[in-house]
Amino acid sequence: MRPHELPLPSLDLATLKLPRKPRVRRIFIEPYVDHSGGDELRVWIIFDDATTDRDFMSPGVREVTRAITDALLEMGERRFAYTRYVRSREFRRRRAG
Amino acid sequence: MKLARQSERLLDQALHLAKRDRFRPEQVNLRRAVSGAYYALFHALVEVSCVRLAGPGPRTRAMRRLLARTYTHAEMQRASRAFAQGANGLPPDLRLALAGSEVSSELRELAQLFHRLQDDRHEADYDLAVQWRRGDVLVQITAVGACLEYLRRERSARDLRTYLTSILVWNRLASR
Repeated sequence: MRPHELPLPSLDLATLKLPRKPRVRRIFIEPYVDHSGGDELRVWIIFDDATTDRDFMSPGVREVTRAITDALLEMGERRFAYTRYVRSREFRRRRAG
Repeated sequence: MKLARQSERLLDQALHLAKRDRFRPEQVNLRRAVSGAYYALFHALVEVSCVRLAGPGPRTRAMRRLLARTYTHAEMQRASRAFAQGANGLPPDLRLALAGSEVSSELRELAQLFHRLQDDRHEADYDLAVQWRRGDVLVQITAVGACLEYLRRERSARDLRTYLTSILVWNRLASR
């Protein structure tokens, strides 16, 4: 099965060991073709709307990234997880636009 | 380890651009910030790798300069992708070179970041349809800062030494 034919992985927020702050509201995963043409994953890490710019620079974001990428590797996922970090309202706006 | 001032300045500039507009960030500033963060990491890796391979000090400066021009973005990205998956992502010969040591979580994060940021830089520079968010850019800049600190602090780890060699000769290593 080719990478783009594989089902998308799903992650359960409740089972991931994520820090309390900044608070992750949702993880959204979609297919993504990177600049070299590879079939990979775009992982949207969607934070609470109250997340500040300072929160985005906190060590907690690193913990979130590590927990998500480790979980995907443990699931046997070999597609690369290209992460994006947004607030809920930014993500909604993007989906609407 | 002393890192090139160039990398520090590129990262400072990226942060300045990302924070420059108080309310609604200009996309052009965020794009340049992403690009600057990528090049801060790129140049830091090349410099540390060259020092490892050619040696430090003024007597090897010319060789380091020459060597620095031979790194390619694509090869560095391929090596980074493999290291991002840990020891299991590496070819068997290279696993032997690690002599049983694991790829540390810090090195995996660095490799993931380089791989990811190269794609981000490509989008930032070439795809004007992509709208960047300040928070997202700040995450990348902060992560690059942590990686520069790791490169500065870490001196002798076998996994890092192996990675810093691999980013120059990955194509030949991986095809053995």
